[in-house]
Formats: sequence, structure tokens, C-alpha cells
Amino acid sequence: MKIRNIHPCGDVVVILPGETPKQLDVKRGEVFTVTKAEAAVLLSTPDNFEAADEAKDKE
Amino acid sequence: MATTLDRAVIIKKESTFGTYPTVDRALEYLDGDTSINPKPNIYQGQGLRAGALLPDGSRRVITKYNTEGSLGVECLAKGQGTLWEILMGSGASNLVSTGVYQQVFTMAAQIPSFSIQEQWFLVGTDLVDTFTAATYTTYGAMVTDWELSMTEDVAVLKVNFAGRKTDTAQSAVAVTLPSTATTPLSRANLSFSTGTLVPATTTTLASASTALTGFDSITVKVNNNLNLDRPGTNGLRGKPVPAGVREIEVTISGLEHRDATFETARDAQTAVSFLTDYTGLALTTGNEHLQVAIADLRVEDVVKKVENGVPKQDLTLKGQQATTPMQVVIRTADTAL
Repeated sequence: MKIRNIHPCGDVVVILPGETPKQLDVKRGEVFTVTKAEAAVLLSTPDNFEAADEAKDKE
Repeated sequence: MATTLDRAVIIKKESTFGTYPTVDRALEYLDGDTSINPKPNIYQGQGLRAGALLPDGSRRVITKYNTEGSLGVECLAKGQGTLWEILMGSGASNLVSTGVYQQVFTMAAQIPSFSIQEQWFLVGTDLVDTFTAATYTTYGAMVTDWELSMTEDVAVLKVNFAGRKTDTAQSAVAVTLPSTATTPLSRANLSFSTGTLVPATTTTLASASTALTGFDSITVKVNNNLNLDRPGTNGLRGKPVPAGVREIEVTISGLEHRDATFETARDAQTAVSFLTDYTGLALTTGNEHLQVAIADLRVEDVVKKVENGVPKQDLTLKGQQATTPMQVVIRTADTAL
């Protein structure tokens, strides 16, 4: 799934939870791709990330 | 594989006391100053049981839940707006110019509650170096008191809080930390002023007329004076309320003794305004700032000393009521708290 970084801090380092944490560096406004499970974690914090699927992009 | 280096502390203000809002602001916390542990009130049955040489374990019961927490961070001009809001009570972010925002925090009648998640790790047996994630979440936390130390190195914030409940029911959230350049706020870029204080507006910084130089360190302590004893449902705490007025204590250590200004202010108990201003990295326009402005302090104590040949004073001042008693101001590139 495609996720957009809307974090107030702009460019952020994201550490996805888990036994083997996955680290991503994402720029302000950047759209990046993660698994569905990872997307669910990111979208649980709607002030930081939003879905950036094609339908949303067309809006 | 995860290790204890993957630990994290994440917070968010609650809309309703004790209701988890999904935390989203990770803090670069100081390990030695951060500790969150349930400390319930436990009652040991007092009834005498014939033949018992020790208290009976089956007669112990928790009567009230409670979590005690402390949190320490080095102050940054990024990513700490939520933290300042839960310390001060009220906070807002406004656009100053392109890419530059100003966050102004003021004391509010009600202190907000917050949830805090501690991402912890359990170690495996002695034959392995593997760790298992464990997530502790505390709900209904409220800041009881805090201390901002403007040390001879950097600005450090230490916060004490009390929580309503802690459990492991919540999922671990993603940890997000600012990667954009920001630095701890250095003593090298700290100024201290008194005299006529002009408070910050939503978009202008606070200012004061008389700069003072030659001091070692400054500490601002605030006690919210909360009543933590309200009974709630199921042994959980009711939302704390102010038990009385708040307390602000400012200590200025090692201020070079150049005149009798503060001795005169002590003797006459006249108002002393207070403004500290850290300047940080450059923003699109201007610089990062962290300001603390207190409208009315009265000198409680002045202690003279000579340190390495320099006459100095250690000052203790107490905050007093004013229209806007205290502001904390952050200039930042963050677009929201």
C-alpha cells in the first residue's frame, strides 16, 4: 500500500514495530510503499500518515 | 533483530481522560530520567489467623490503581510540541512565514491528560541474545510537576506524572523521529533578560528590555499541585483536579554579583520579570527558539558566594499571578504541535 508522510516534523525516520524493526527514511510529503500490515500500523496515527492510493490521489 | 536499543516512548494528549487516543509523538528520551511503573495501593489483610507466622498472602488486595512516571528529554525545537502542551495546559501553533511556525504554550485552568506508550523488550534465556517486544501503555497520565534545567551544557526537561492505569493491551505504534536537522539547545546560545517584558503573540517572540549576562545555570520548576486522590470507578483514579494554586520556582545559580538589583528587589518585594531565550538552528527565516517568559517573579532568597575569585549570587524566585503568568514559546519548522 502507498502511504504519504504528513508528519508535522516533516522529514522523519520511521521505525516499524516488530521483532525485527524496519527503518524507513521518508521526506515531507513523500509517498512510499509498505505492506498492508505495516500500512495499518502507520494509518493508526492519522496525524502522521495518510493513505495515498490512486483513488485518493485523483481526488 | 530487536534489542533494548529499540525501546521507545510515545505520547499523545487524550480527548477524554483515560481513553487511549493512539499515541503518535515519539520522544528522544533520556534513559536515566525515564521510568514508568505501576504503583498500586496494596492492602494487606490484618486479621489474625491462628498459627500464621507471617501475613497471609491470600489476604492481599489492590485497593487503588496508580502509575508513577518520570520522563526526561533534552529540549529540541522539533517534535516536542505535544509534550509542552501537556506540561502547560494550552498550546497552539501558528504560521509565522513560509516554513516557520510558532508554538505558544500558556498555563490553562485544566491540565490535559495524555497516554504514553513504552515500547519495552524482554530478554531471552542466558543462552541467547534475543529480545521479545512488550508494549506498556499508560492511560490518564497527568503531569504533577516538571523542571526545565538550563544547564551549563544544554536545556533538559524532567517531568513527573501520575497515570490512571497501565496495561499491555495496545499494539505498538510506529516510532517516528524527526530526521531534519535540529540540535540540543546549547548554553552558548542562551540569553537571559529581565525588565519590561513584552509577551509573545501568536507569531512574535517575547522580549524583555534588560539583558543579564554572567550566570551559570537557570532552573524553572513548576508544580501543578494536583489532587491525585479522587476516587474513580473500579479502583481507578478519578481525573485529578487542582488542589490549589500552582507553584513556579526559578533558581538562577552563579549570577555574577555586579550590583544590588536583586537584593533591592528582595527587600522591596518588587516584581521581577523573566525571559530566557535559546536560539537554535536557522529556519527559512530566522532561527529556532525556545523561550520561557514569566511575568512576575518575587525574590525569595539571595545567597552571596565567591567562586574562583568571582562574587556571585544564587537566587530563588517565586512566580506570582499575572494576566499571562507564563509562556513557553517555540519557533520551529514543525507544522503542528
